[in-house]
Amino acid sequence: MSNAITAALQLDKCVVDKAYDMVMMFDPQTLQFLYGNEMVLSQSGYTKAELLQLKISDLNPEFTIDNLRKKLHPLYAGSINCIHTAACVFLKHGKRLSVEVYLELMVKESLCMVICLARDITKRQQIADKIRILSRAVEQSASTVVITDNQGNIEYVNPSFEKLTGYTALEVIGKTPRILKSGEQPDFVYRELWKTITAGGEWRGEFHNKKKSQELFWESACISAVRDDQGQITHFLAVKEDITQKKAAQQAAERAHATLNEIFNVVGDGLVVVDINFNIIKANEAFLKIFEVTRQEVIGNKCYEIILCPNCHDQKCDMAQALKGKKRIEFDMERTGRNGKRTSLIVTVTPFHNIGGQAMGIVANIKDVTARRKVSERLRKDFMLAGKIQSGFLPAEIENDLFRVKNIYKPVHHVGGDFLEYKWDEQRQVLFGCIVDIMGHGMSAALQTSALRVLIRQTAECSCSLAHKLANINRQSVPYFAEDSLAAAIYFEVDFKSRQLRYSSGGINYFLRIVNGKQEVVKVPGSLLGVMPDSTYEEHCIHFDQGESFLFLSDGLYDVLPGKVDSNINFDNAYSQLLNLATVCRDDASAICLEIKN
Amino acid sequence: MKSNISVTNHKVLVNLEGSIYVEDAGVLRQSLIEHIEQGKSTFIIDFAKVDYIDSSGLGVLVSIQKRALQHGGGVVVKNLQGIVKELFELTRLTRVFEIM
Repeated sequence: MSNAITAALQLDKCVVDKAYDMVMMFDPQTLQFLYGNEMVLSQSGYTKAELLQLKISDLNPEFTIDNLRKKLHPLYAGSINCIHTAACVFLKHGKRLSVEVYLELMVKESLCMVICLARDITKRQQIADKIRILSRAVEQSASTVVITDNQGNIEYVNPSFEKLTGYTALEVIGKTPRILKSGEQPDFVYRELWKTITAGGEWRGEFHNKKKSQELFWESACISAVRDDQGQITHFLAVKEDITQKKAAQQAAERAHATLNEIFNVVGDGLVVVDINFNIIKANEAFLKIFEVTRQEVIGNKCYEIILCPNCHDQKCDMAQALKGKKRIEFDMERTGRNGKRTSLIVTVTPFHNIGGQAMGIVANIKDVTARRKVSERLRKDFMLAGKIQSGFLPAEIENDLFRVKNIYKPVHHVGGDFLEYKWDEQRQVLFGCIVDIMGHGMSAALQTSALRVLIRQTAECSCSLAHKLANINRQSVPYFAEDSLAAAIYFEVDFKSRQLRYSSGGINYFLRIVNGKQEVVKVPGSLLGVMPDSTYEEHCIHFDQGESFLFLSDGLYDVLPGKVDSNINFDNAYSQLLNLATVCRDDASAICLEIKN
Repeated sequence: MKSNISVTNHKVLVNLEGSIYVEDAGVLRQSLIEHIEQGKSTFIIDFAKVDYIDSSGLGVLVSIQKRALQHGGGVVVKNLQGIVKELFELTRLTRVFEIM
């Protein structure tokens, strides 16, 4: 019997000594260790002898007699048999251990002892901390997190899910994510998703889902399987991000890009974009048409293989100049097409830069001006013809025993606003003439001169004074003058019977007179034509002698005459001088030069 | 030719300097037409620093005067001197503009 008891006691001792958990005893009065099993020694690092020298307060300063008394009070009171608690102990070499503790009181031979069973829960604590952190991360994540079982039934959603979708966790748990399906996406997307994740793979993609409020939204999702220790799929985890705004921006950018592309292609001029290495990166339809190439032949090829600018492969290359810093370059070029047809082009090259200001390439605008140039050429020819016709109206130079008259007529643009007129009346022995200078150049001025020419010829027949004639011309011509135009004129009659020069100014207020080799200016006051319909004019009269000359000039020629007064000049020299000046005049240049021979 | 154009109390003040030839006349005309198109109809043109004006320049002044009169305004010409004054007198433009 005693052997059995001894064996049982030895077994008990062996069980306690070898227990996986720590078993120790201490005196609650002194806190002195009374016993520690092998696990205590192993975990603490102390030897048995060292342990029996220690108090439990050496493991944690908070284990004081008073604190212990308070903790053990329920045991002392007998209300409970065992206290279950957790504590942290500091062992030899600074090792820290989290333990789960069971405390019981044992009284033997009036000695009260505390039996302490302690289990190392350090790892468990660490795992619990980790789980807590991960849990908080999921709870607080801005991304939505959905966890389903392996059949797709929702087991968990985080607060971000609730906030985004409008569904509470309670509303969705037990349901499938189909609750968010909007119907905007084809079924094969979902089939593909399920196939991937059930095979253990990871699926990434975008959903066009629907909130509880029926509002549509976009999500980018990453869905993967969660496996247990045996590798079996137990759950699916979906981490998603609301990309509605990003998607809208992306779609807006795509629409803008498509619009710009459309505009790029419908522009009537050819447009081509070339990078800094002279590679063509973009060309519109008009460009392809001008250069008779396809898009495949152009994109990626060098610009100098297609465009053939006048300065290609040269330091003066316009594309290179633009890349070096010139803001805008324009040049003309001619191109002969495949059918031999010649095309005139105006090319405008402009560099473009990135945000940092670095040159990225050039944009060239190619305008086909062939038709326009043909029209311009036709107009130019018409203009030249009109000029010839206008010149044809000039009176011929006259020379007789009494006088010679020469004229100068040089419109600055082929067709002018000046005209001159003179006529010799043999019977009356009167040479009458006029110079008219209509403000302006070109076709409109030429047409106005035609109208005035008719009026002057009609008025010439009238027997009234020059002043009257001018007044009539002025009054009748006002309707022919636009608000921006007017005319200057001088009207004269050289009467060889009375040896008088009669003249009246309509705004040409100077003419030249050469007497005895001296040139002088004769000033004549007179209102411009076409300003006021009721203007009055004055007639003046001077006597002339043989050898005198009179030079009636339009103001374009008068203004450029360097020496209006000359003390040594004759008719021929004066005429030559005027003829030379007419070629450099910036305005229409006209003159009637009269030499009195007899 | 140089010009300085400003607007004060809806009046266009034009200070001209130098010689006014055919090329300058076109530029001046365009500048003043723009003011007419903006609703201005009273112009005061100072010739104190102008040493010459040809018929194109005079033509511009007349055309501005015609337009200004159509809008109830007019052109005032001031500080005529020297040959410019003589030109205005010879062409009787002193009867067309208000002279100061």
